[in-house]
Amino acid sequence: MRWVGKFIISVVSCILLVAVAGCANDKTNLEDATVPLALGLDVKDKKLHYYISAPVFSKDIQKKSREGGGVAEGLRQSRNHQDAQFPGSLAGRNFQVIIVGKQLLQYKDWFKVLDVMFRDPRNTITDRIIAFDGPMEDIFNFQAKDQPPLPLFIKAIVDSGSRSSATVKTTAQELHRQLYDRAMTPSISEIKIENNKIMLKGTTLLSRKGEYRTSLTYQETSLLHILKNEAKPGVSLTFPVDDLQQSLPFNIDNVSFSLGDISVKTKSSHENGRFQFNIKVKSIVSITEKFLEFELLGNSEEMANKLSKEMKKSMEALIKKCQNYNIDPFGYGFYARAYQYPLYKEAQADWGKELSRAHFDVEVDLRIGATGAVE
Amino acid sequence: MKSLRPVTMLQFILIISSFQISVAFLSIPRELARHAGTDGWMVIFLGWGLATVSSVVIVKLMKHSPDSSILELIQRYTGVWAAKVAAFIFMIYYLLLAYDGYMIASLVIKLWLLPSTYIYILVLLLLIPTFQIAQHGFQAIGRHSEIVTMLSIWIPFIYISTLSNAHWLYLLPILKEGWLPILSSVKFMIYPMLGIGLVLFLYPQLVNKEKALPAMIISNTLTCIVYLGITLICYVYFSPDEIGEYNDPVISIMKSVEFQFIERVEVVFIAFYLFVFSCIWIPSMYLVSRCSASLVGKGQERYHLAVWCIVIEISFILYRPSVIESTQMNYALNYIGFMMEFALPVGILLYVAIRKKMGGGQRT
Repeated sequence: MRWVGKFIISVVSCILLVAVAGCANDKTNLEDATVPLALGLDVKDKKLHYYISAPVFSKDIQKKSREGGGVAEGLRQSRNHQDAQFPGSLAGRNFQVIIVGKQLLQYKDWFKVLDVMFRDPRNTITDRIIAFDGPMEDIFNFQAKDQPPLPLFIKAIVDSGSRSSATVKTTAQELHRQLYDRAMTPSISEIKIENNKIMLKGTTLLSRKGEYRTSLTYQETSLLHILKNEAKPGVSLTFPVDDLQQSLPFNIDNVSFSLGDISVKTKSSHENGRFQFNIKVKSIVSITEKFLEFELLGNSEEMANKLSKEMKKSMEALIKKCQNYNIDPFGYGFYARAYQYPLYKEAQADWGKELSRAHFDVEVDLRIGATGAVE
Repeated sequence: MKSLRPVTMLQFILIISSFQISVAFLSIPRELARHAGTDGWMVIFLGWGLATVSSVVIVKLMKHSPDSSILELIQRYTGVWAAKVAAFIFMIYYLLLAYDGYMIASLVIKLWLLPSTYIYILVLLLLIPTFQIAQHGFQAIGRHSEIVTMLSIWIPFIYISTLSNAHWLYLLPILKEGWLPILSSVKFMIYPMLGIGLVLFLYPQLVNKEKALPAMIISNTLTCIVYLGITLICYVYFSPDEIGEYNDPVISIMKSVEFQFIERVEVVFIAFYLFVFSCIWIPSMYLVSRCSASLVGKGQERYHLAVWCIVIEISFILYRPSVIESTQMNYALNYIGFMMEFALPVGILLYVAIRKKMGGGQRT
């Protein structure tokens, strides 16, 4: 009967232990917590404003979310002010998206505001960082009957957009990496409100310090993905191949195609006191849309050359655009660091400037692999 | 004379490897990155070489005493008092390692999971299974290590899944700043390789003693593969300019993993990782109790173990360690560990060899 005694002792001590550990302060009942899913940051009258959207779980309420906001000196510092606007505590934050206003993006080192995200390990760091051009209230007070809750909606359009390379998927962690790395500059997604609809606008390129530099369209973002060698098969591009008179409501000389496996080879060298990058893009494409009369079967070579030429032209234009702004969203600094380290080390303090002097040699080699089901 | 419970070869390998990996796993990418930059992963090879040399020495030494631990060996060659001193030194050393383990584990849990729970409550919860397992000796510890290994098999797969965001160019250029940072960082590989000293006590219980040296080399290699894997994964994930910013890059990398079915893998990971953590303090506490029993010369080991568990608990109630202190302690353990597991066996081996030459040694 000795084991009975042992059993009782262990059961009692287990209960005691559970009591000891369970009574600690680390317990939050779900009823007492508000889980904000979106955070907005912007500057108004030279003061940092924050905006929060949290879902409300109740059957009787028409509006499914509650918004809050105010002036903040820091996200953590304004915690009491945040708590005051919501039932329960805002602890255990679980932001899905962080929307950054264009006004805030004018300031250097604005990213430091998000320090608490990294310092307090309970915060998630997979929240997407998204730029928004316009008054932040608009987006947080945006109500549409046909739209799921705002944070989830924005997250979904960014995720699906990045899957088709129409925008980048930059999480807080990723932005941290891109900002700290001296060999590149960050890029984040951008949304806009147009015709009373929230929609994806493309990509925002930032400087080394996080300031706004320029924006990219969907197609430019796709090219950015390709140049970064991060594009997944299935990226779709459209280029005009002939300068035809436009007589129809749609552009008749455009040809769309989707790329299969893309091979991007980048070589860096240093000549005549400046860096030189040779980029070779190779892919087998399939034509997905074509309006013009063009015999593809016999002249696929010619069409491929035309498309290659157009793609090369727009890639060079994109690189030139970035060079003009002294930024390197592609990460060409990685190649310079990996292969020309001593020279890179001299230039790493202001890599964007160094890159703007660099010479680029882009080669595009497309082959048409499929023309679709009709001729 | 109680009969020794045998430890199989697999258990032997896993006891040593899990002891080495448990605490150092979290800090090794950070330490190597801060001190040797992106070439830090090469230091691991040097650490492996160092540990292998020491393994050879330890096995050679223990060949002189196939049926009893280092304490009896010292007693046989130099007398009772030297053995007492050795027992005291080893006791303090393993107490330090166990304390370090408890400190790091509880600080990690406090930081990442339970910020407002007191450290001594966490330590109390950790001490109970320690006592349960450590009182049964090395065989139970070996089985525990086997189970922990099986429970932790999933962890590498999560880390491998982060490779989809890898930037392999971060590893280039090799030898960025030359050999100097690599060679000067070897000292930070001592702490991650600590654990080979366990053999000084474990050897008598090993079933297949001729295979002791291969087994030790296997476990050192296993440890180094794990270190190399996690270091490279951290290096290709974080940019070289940023990795020093993170205190626990190994856990931070987990935070960025998103699965359809679970959003915060790191919470599960840390809770599970407690099993791996326990592989450092369970053997340590067992050896503390054994050394203290042989120091006092009477009493069962389990009573000593209970006393030491209570002492550790009280020390955590009286004194609340901070993260900064735990880092300093790690640095100190690099030197202390080098003395205990690398220099000391060489010294004893030399002494024993000289005594043997002089006249066979005095057998008591």
